[in-house]
Order: sequence, then C-alpha cells, then structure tokens
Amino acid sequence: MKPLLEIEHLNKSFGGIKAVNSCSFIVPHGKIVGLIGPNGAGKTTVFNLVTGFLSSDSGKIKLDGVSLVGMSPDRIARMGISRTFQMIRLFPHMTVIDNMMLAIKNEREGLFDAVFRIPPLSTEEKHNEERCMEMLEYVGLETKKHEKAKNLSYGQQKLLEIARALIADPEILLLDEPAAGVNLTMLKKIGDLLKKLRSQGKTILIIEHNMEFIMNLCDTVVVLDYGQEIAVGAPHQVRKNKKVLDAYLGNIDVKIVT
Amino acid sequence: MAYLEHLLVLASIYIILSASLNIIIGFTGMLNLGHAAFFGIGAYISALLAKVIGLSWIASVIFGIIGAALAGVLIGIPCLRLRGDYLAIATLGFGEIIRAVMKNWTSVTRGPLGIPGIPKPELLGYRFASVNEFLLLSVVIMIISVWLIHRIIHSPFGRVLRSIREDEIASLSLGKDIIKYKLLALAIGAGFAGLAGSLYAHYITFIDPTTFTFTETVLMVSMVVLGGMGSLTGSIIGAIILTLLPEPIRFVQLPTNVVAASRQIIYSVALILLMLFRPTGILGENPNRKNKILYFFKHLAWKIGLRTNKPEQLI
Ligand SMILES: Nc1ncnc2c1ncn2[C@@H]1O[C@H](COP(=O)(O)OP(=O)(O)OP(=O)(O)O)[C@@H](O)[C@H]1O
Ligand SMILES: [Mg+2]
Repeated sequence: MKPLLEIEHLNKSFGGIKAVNSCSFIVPHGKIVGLIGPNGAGKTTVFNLVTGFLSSDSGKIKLDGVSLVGMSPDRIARMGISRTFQMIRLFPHMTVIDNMMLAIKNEREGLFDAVFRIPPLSTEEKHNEERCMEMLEYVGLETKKHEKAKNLSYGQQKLLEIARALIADPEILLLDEPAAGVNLTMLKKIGDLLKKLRSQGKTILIIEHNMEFIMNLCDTVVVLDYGQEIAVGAPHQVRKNKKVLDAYLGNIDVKIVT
Repeated sequence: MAYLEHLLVLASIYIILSASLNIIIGFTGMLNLGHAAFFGIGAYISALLAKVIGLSWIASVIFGIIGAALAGVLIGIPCLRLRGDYLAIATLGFGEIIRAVMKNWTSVTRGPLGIPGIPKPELLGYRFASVNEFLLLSVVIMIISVWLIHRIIHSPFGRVLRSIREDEIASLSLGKDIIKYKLLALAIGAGFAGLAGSLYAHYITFIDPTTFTFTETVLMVSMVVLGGMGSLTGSIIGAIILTLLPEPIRFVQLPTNVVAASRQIIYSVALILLMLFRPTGILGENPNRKNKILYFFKHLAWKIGLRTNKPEQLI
C-alpha cells in the first residue's frame, strides 16, 4: 500500500540557513511516526512545509499520492491534515466549546446558512456540540465548556489544542511537541489517547523531545539533524545508531544513551 | 418636536453604520478606515439613480447596497492576500479616492455643488415625506438591519469570522478559507454602510462630498470603540451616545464655528474618558451583557466618587 504521507528531497532555506536539507521520509497508514532531532534541526519547518504555511524551495510532499505542493494551508487542512503548533494557537477569547466547534466538519458555515437557516441550524449545532463534548470529556475539559480558552492552564490549553485537531477527524494528525510542559499524568493521558487513535486506524506524525515518550509510543522514528534525516527505523534501532548518538551527544540530551 | 425626531433618524442611520463597521473591525478584526466611502458610495449611487435615471426608491437603494458591497470586495481583493495592516492603509486611501471622485467627476456628481432635490422614499405609492414618516421608515430599516447583522454574527459563519480575528493561522489550520470570509465580511459591512448612505441621501435630499470625509469615518470608528469591539449592543449604544452627545451645545448661544469645534472636543473628551475608565468599550464582547452594563455604571460611579468601594471585577 502507498504510504499516507510521502516527503521526498524536501528543501527549505531561510537566507543562508538550510533549515530543511533534502529531507525524505514516509508516514505509513495507521502508524505513529516520531520526528526527533536536536533544537533547530528543522522539525517544525517540516511541519510548516507539509501544512502549507511555508512554501518549499524544492521537493515533493504527497498525501495519499496527491501532491500538496503549492496548496494553501486551508486547502491542505481540508484535505485531511490537522496539526497543533509548538507555540499553542487557540482562539483565546472564545470559549472552549467554540474552539472545538470551529474544528468539527461543518457544511453550514456559509453566509447563506447564516441568513436563511434552511433547514434550521440548531439540530446540527446540537449534534456537533455533543460530539465536541464527548471529546472534551475524553481529555477532561468538559467542565471548562464555557470558559475562555485563554483562562485555561498551559497543560489544559495543550489538551484543548490536541482535542481540537482531533475533532476535525483528519487523515493524519501532526503534533508539534504535545508533551512539552505537560505533567506526567497528562503525558500518560496524551500517550494513551494517541495509542487509542492508532488502534482506530489513525495516522500520527509527532515531534517530541521527551525520548521515553517517543520510544514507548512510536512505530517508527525519523531523526533529523541539520534539516536532513540521519536515521529512520524502529525506536530500539534508532537509539543505537551511531549518527544519532553523535548528533545528540553534541547536545545536552544524554538520556538517549542509556 | 421635529428636532428630536430628526436626531432619531440620524441615530438610526449611525446605528446601521457602526453595527456594520463592527462586523469588519470588531468581529473579523480588519481595520477599515474607509467606512465613510462605502456610506458615500451608497448615497451617491442611490441618489443619482433616483434623481437622474428616475428609478424607484427601492431599486435605487438596492443598487446603492450592491455598489457599496462591490466596492468593499474590490478594495479587499488586492490587500487581503498581503499580511499586516495593508487593509487599514488601503481603505484610508480608498476613502480619499472616493471623495476625490465625488468632487471631480463633475459631469456626474456635480462636484462640490452636490446633488440637490433627491426624491423622498416612496413605497407602494406611499411617500415618506415628513420627518415623522421618515423616522418610522428609518427605524424599521435599522431594526431589520440590526436583526440581520445579529443573525449573521451569531451563526457558524459569524463564529468563523471571530476565529479570524482571534488567530488567522489557527483558523487556516482548521481549513477556513479566510480570504473568502474576510471578503464576505467586507461586502456585508460595506453593503450595510451603502444602505445607510442611501437612507441618508433620501432623507436630507441633498448630498455633497463634505459629508463623506475621513472625519466621518473617525466618528464611526469612535462609535464602535466606545460601544465595544465585537458587541452589537455596544455599537448601538455607541452610535446613540455619539449622535446625541454634542447636540446640547446647539442650544447654547455660540457662534457656529465654535459649535463645530466643540463637537470635536466633546468627541475627543468622550474617547479619552473611555480609554481611561474602560479601554475595551462600554460592552466588550462578553455573553454576560447585563452584568457588564451594570459593572460599567458601578465602576463609573466608583471612579467619580459616588461609590466608596470598588465594584468586583468581572471575569
Ligand atoms: N521563519 C523563519 N525565518 C528564519 N529562520 C527560521 C524560520 N523558521 C525557522 N528558522 C530556522 O530554521 C532552523 C530550523 O528551525 P525549526 O523551528 O524547524 O527547528 P526545530 O527542529 O523545530 O527546533 P526545536 O526543537 O527547537 O523546536 C532554525 O535554525 C531556525 O532558526
Ligand atoms: Mg520546533
């Protein structure tokens, strides 16, 4: 079977910096793939290229065989790619439930439906709200339904952003450091949630610095250094890879050696 | 007293203007500094069609609305693809261009002479000639407009507009075609401004370029800011306050040039007070409106010393 997401010889420079340097890897259907690497390795840039927020200098990006190059971010999102951001991006002055309602697939967000409302919007809105509430219950935010997003704690905001990406029911979920700054209980919860999603056949690409989290969760790990994949494989293989050790030993993160 | 009724007609027109501007500024988060131009386009199109072509009032109004809405889209298309505050500058420039056109396209607009003798509205053979009759008409149109705007804002469509105001990138990441939504918001806002312009033209029965200046836009923005960005009720209150506020000076025996200047002073003082006491406007967006109104007055009372304890801050 064709991989769900294919990245081939992707390049992106910022001025003199080659942030992504002929990077290639794939994300197969129904798997969790970890994208790791030292700070500044180009992981977030890869996400921004895949989701269309940045345009690549060259290279291929394909979702289910369809090229995403040149598509606008909203179009790519509608093709079935949901993402979260390293710096959380919620709608801060809107309620938790409104944040969710904006993500759920809704055919009735047009002006015509706002004015004429034929048939009435209420049944669909209610149904959507119930689905959003189920998701909020799952991440433990159901009591915050009417709270403004900006009033949530950092961890809760992270969870809301993940929940929001999930409710869109994407083909593939791109998570940029979902575990950063989240306590252990939450971390376990996020891990369990992602495993559950995989068991339902969902595909996930995840950037994360927490090695234990990545090693326990992922089917495959892609290690990025200076914008290029230096190792790809099962977690236990990658952690013994010489290049990976070198890349990380230049860094402070020694945990990987053990 | 025809004077009061006259003021109420103006207030209705300004309510439509500030509510429509709020869709663009307050709900979608686009700084539009050319609202007076859309107001003027509606006024001129409607006036010219009714007077020169002899179109019926209702048809003239509809073309005024469409013309203004199209102008909104036209100005939006080139600058919405760019990031940043291009729209503010573009709309500002657009406002000046429109005014220059009104002034210089003399074969059509008669330039600074303006257009006199615009026919009063006529609907199904009934002519809204007196101030009283016009008041009825303008209040009905204002209520329908506010109702429509309310309906548009409180819908999944309106929710997307607010998401764009909050965070465009997040909105894009959820698959929203934000350029489409912004253009629609501009078209709706400009269209309602066109409607207000048409009402104005057929009410005063005379228009000239001096009515549609940047100062007029500033007044509309002040109404929105005073009432609270993203609050429809706020826009209504803001429009009423700023329409009525400077009126009492008329009754003081002052030379006319002083009166005109004092109006500006009153607007400025009102806005300075607002920024001091309540930078988010009288009603910033909050579902808990009633409490907010109460809090505003309690807080005001505390600030000016009518109340000893500071009212509890609302969340
Ligand atoms: N918009 C930008 N403009 C200029 N340089 C950028 C931009 N975005 C990223 N870079 C540079 O590209 C390189 C890769 O950055 P990127 O954010 O992709 O790293 P990362 O792997 O996500 O790092 P981290 O783990 O710290 O989040 C860095 O050197 C960064 O400074
Ligand atoms: Mg990053």
